[in-house]
Amino acid sequence: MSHSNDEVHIVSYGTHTMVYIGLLSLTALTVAIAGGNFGSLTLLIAMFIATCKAGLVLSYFMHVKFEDRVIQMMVASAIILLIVAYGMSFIDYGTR
Amino acid sequence: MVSSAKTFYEDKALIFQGFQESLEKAGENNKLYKFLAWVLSWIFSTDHKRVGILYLITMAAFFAIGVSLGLLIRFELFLPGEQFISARVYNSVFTMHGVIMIFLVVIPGIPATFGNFCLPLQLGAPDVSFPKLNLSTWWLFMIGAGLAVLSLFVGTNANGELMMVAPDGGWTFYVPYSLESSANISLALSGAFILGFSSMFTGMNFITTIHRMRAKGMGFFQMPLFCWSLYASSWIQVLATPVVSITLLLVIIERFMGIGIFDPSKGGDPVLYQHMFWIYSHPAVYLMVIPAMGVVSDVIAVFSRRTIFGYKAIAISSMAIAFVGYFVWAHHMFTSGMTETAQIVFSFLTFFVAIPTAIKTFNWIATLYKGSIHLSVPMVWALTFVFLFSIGGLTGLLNGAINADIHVHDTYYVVGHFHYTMFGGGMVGLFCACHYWFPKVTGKIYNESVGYLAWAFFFVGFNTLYGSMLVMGLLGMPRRYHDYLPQFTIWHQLSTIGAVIMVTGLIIMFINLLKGWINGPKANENHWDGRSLEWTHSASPPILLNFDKDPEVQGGPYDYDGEWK
Amino acid sequence: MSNSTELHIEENHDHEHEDYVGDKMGMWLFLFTELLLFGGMFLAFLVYYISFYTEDFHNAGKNLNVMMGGGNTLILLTSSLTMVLAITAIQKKNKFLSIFYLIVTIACAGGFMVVKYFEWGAKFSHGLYPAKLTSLAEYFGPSIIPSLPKGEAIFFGLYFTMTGLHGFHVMAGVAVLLIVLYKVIVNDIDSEKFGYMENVGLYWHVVDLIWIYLFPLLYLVA
Ligand code: HEM
Repeated sequence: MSHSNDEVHIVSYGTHTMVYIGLLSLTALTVAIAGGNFGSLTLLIAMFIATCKAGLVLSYFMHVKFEDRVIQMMVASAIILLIVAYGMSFIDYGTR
Repeated sequence: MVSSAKTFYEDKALIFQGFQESLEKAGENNKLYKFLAWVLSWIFSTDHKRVGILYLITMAAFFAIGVSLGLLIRFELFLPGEQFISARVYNSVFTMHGVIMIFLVVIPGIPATFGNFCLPLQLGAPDVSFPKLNLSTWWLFMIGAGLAVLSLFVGTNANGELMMVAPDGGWTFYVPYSLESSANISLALSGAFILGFSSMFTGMNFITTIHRMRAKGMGFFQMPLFCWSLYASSWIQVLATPVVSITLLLVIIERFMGIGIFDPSKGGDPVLYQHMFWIYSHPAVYLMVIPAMGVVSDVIAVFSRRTIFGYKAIAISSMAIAFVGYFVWAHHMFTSGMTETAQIVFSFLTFFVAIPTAIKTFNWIATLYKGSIHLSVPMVWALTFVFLFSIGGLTGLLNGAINADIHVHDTYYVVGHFHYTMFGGGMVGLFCACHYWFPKVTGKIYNESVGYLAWAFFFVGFNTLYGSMLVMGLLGMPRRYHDYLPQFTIWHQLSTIGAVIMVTGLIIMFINLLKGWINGPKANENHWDGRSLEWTHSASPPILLNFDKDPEVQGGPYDYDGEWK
Repeated sequence: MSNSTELHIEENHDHEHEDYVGDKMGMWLFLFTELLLFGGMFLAFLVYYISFYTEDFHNAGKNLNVMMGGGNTLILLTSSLTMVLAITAIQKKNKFLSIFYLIVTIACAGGFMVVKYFEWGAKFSHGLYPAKLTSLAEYFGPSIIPSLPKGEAIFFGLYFTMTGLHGFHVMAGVAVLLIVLYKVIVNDIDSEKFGYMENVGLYWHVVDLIWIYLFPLLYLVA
């Protein structure tokens, strides 16, 4: 199971810069959308965009895309757990 | 297999090694320096075995304090009315009893002690993945514990006078009372906050160790079940503890800055505190008991001289308990004003926890069936675990059902229930581990007849003590009360008598173990005829890095009559 | 005898450092605890926003300065980029480029804190600070938070705690980044051995990740 360093996947400068540009455009998008009036959808849209950004950061900057299967599964389960716990809390708050 | 190398008691792996060695030199003709050098060789040791023993000793001390406080409660309640402590002090006493028992004893519990000691041994590894981090968890633990104990004594009242202001209001620190109480709550909470880090780091360390440091040939499904249970509980430590950390931090911030998050007078929602508190603290009760189940699985297999029945089912059900346990927290809150939908959903989910627990119990029984059972002391404790925890679990079903819970909520029934699970489960598991791995840790053996005697006292006392609590709870005796109506007198007196008997048993057990450690007869290398690596491949007591050469695994951890596939 | 044990210890310590994947796994587990720590705060925020005080939160959110929040988003994203570029540079054996990127990263972190300082300062001077901090009244006049509608008061409570805790993490990040910088300079980190740097990078991205959610929630809900 041991990995030596030469197996490590090096992400190029170019990829990182592309990701960065993507992140910037998404930021611009949320700010722009917040100006418009979408009512109760605003939160959902903002969270959706934030999640896209988070996905980019996780998979490229944080290298999850190129990581071991085990670490990928750990990351996924931690995030899923958090989301489910949120959902469970709103079983109470959502029905108030 | 038997090595001539020095045991880990004589060898050392230290941080600040140079400092310690110069002290040791100075100690050749100075008793004090010699003693200091010896202390340093423990508290700075990164050896997982020494860290485990450090935890064991400190926890024994805290347990003794906790038991004394528990006894104090029981003596106060021997007769109705005020005996020797006032109502106010009573509040502090049961709060500190709860805080010490929960945060300083059962939560670090088995993982910090025997987890540390045995995990690398059972995996065939020289140490845990991050030995220095491991040592730091003990330091964090001591700092946190220090703060919690300090909060007992230091503080000022409203007029600025120094007085004893131990936290009151229960170990759960429910808001809004904990926001307003003048007692020393911030200090105790900071202590708990730091203890949380200790627990998280232990969890991180164990998960990484289990993933990365297994011996050659040991897949996940060739690990002893104790390792599996540590794996499950470590995940709880990592994924649940931060939530309570932030919750306690918010209470501290609220007390100092008044941001209003949980304070109803400022528009906050106190029920949110309860949600966030139990999101951690419910998984935490599984954190207390899952490792105990691991110990018991190992012990039952070894003392039946059989391959454990349903290995995979037990392993996976540990994970299942950890997982399901995450989603049932709100069953502590049926009477706190949640919506009805939430109550029903959480009650429904609660019953699911019973399934993996029952799977284990039945597998243990099936293992016993046709085994050649050796009723040695560890085995007796393991069976006691099964018995007491079954009572704890079954009484829990009643708490999980909404309508029944509304009747017994906040009565002594609940107190009885959680002592059966945490004490009869978590702590008895620890006692079992103490007796089982004793020859491994010390290389000696305690007096077995005295061991049985201690157990007998404990068992009788325990059931009298907490059994009568179950009964008086059903009759309507509320918990956390300093006084009671005359009709409960008989039950309270029974309970107190039980407490005295049980504590006698605890004292006998403690002395027996201590005497065994100091001058017990030498134990055999593989004293219980175990089949896992810590018995078969390492000396008793083990050498510094556990194994002369890296072990390789062929069969399974319970490879008795070749049943293992 | 004792010689051979010592040798053994040496080996063990090497072993401890050699486990590249293990170190990374440990780091990830630590990051989970960070995520869940903030996760708890976000839960509190969402509960109050969705179930209690939607309107109040909108009104209170209008008081925040989107320019400053947005600017800080830019700064953090940029620092994240330079962080990964620094790693790529070291992997490609370009030490000086790596040092340059690291310095930019640290500078960005500093810039973030400067902006935060002005942002909080502006809030304080309007009397917006946690009510129990009475010692601040001397400089800024009495806190007006208790006189606000309840939901707005809670919004500001959450605002200060969340950004404060986040700012604390930024400062911790600066500390570890400085260590990395030092290690790169003295060749403790090179193209063969960069696990430490990657792990610090992971931490730094988590700081960014949290801000990615904080920014729209706090500054844009209005
Ligand atoms: C000699 C042993 C013990 C005795 C005599 C004892 C007795 C008691 C009694 C009488 C109470 C109820 C106080 C009240 O509601 O007014 C109590 C509460 C409690 N006990 Fe124990 N106990 C013992 C050991 C333990 C152990 C080993 C644990 C943990 C594993 C534990 C955990 C707790 C907790 C968490 C509470 C609740 C405190 C609260 O209400 O905030 N106890 N104990």
